[in-house]
Amino acid sequence: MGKEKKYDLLESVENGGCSAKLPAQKLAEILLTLPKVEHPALLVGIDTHDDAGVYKISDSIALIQTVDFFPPICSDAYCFGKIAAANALSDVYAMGGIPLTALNLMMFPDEKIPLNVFSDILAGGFDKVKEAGALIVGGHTINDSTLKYGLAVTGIVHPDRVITNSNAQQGDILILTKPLGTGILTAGKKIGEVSEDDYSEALFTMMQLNNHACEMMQKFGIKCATDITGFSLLGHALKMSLASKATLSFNSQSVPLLKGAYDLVDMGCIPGAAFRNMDFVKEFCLFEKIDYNYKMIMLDAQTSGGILMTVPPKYANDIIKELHNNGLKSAACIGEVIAPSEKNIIVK
Amino acid sequence: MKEVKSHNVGKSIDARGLLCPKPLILTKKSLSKLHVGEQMEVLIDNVTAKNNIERFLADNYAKAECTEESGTYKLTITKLSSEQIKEIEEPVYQVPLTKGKHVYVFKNERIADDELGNMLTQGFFETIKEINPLPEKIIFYHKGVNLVLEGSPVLENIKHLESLGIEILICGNCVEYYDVKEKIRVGTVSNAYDILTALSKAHHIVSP
Repeated sequence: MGKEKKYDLLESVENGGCSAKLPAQKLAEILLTLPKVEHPALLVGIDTHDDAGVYKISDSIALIQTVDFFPPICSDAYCFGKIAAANALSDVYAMGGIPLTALNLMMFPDEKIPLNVFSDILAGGFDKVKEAGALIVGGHTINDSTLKYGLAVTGIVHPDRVITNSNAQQGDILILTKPLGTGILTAGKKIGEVSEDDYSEALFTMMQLNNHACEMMQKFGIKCATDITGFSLLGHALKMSLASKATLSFNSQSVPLLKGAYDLVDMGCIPGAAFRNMDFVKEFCLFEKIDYNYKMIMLDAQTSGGILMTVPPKYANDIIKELHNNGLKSAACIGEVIAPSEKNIIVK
Repeated sequence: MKEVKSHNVGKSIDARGLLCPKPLILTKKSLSKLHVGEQMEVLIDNVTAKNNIERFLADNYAKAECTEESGTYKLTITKLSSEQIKEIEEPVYQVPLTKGKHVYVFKNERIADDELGNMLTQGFFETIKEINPLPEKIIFYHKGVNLVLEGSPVLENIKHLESLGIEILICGNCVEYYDVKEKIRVGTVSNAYDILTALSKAHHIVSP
């Protein structure tokens, strides 16, 4: 810490990161009122609630487009910029693509927050986009009462190699690449119940790009994945299940957790977003006799979470090994795709 | 903030003015100290926090009654035993099924010896779970035991039926004859006595 008092971004918001999302079922209702968009070049549109739109522009190139922004998830401006960028870029990786360009979106209360915070956030975003090998080519700013930052990202993928959330095959193994609990640790941090080390680890995973997970998926020809953000592991899994018309079965004990997450939930530190996500998934889920704390962790809204992919069993061990070797040390097999049953999600 | 936390542990909690998830943390801490049947009270002025506490309680062996007066909610919480909770458990988490007294018997690995026979077998196993009432038992003998072995196209369906409480019985002599004990993936290996008892007690025997 320097002599100057650093501005604490968390003091400016109540709900940060992806937990600021609208409830999933409300969003689904709104999207239903929109006219259906159909076009021969549109490979992935709104109807499957996937991570990004995909538009074929030639036999070898399809465009991936996505946008994401949210209020501060952490105290430090530079760090927030990095997390917001990693989160926005993640949608391109979840579709199997390579990000090319990005545009900044900034909503900033210039009378409440010092302007150096503004430039620190942009610097974080810039560095993360650079790490991803993409370019920031512009942006847009407005004055707003609550600070929000994010990016619109454009990427490309070969049209035959698009990875969607609608291709889960019975017998596939489910792999998750990052540990869960970022929403819980953020809530715990605000009330002073998280150790410095555990919190740093949570920030580290949120800043981590999903680029290596994407590379592994393309290397092994994986066809189905989604990234885990505000709707939680089970919420995004449900969207995958509905889009793929398959049932996903999870083993709660195998799910990787951030250090400290379990103890926080056990003391009752459960962010409101987890209850909102439960409302969204509960009628589609069968919870076998599982530990309540695990259930709530699997419903925790993630910011810049990992990739959930479905892989043929013969590749599972190799993919896990390669993910571990590429810095994703918590990557684990957490369940499997089973025959369609009356519930979309089964948690054991 | 820290002060409030230590003051409020007891049978009455004033969580007014506290932001999520503090009210839930205080509630959970007090609830853990209650015995079955004991009550506690929570005062709260944030409707989201109140809803979250109620949702937490519904999953954690407690029930709550709520009254509201000029923007303040009073939750009266009673700790329940695991038997009591079963009575009020939300039906969404249960598979609503009744079991009959009939038994299905499979003595072949498919309903007929052609491609259509294969398809019928698969369709049959996919549909059993929707039949009300469900069979009490399903018995596999002769070539029918192939259906419960590794690689069976209907293995997952049978596993699912077993998870619904249907007894899956496999003919032990047949398993020995074909020497496939290692490949069984679902069900219980049974004997002639138990299988004949099951058949003679059944109200109906269905043999497709």
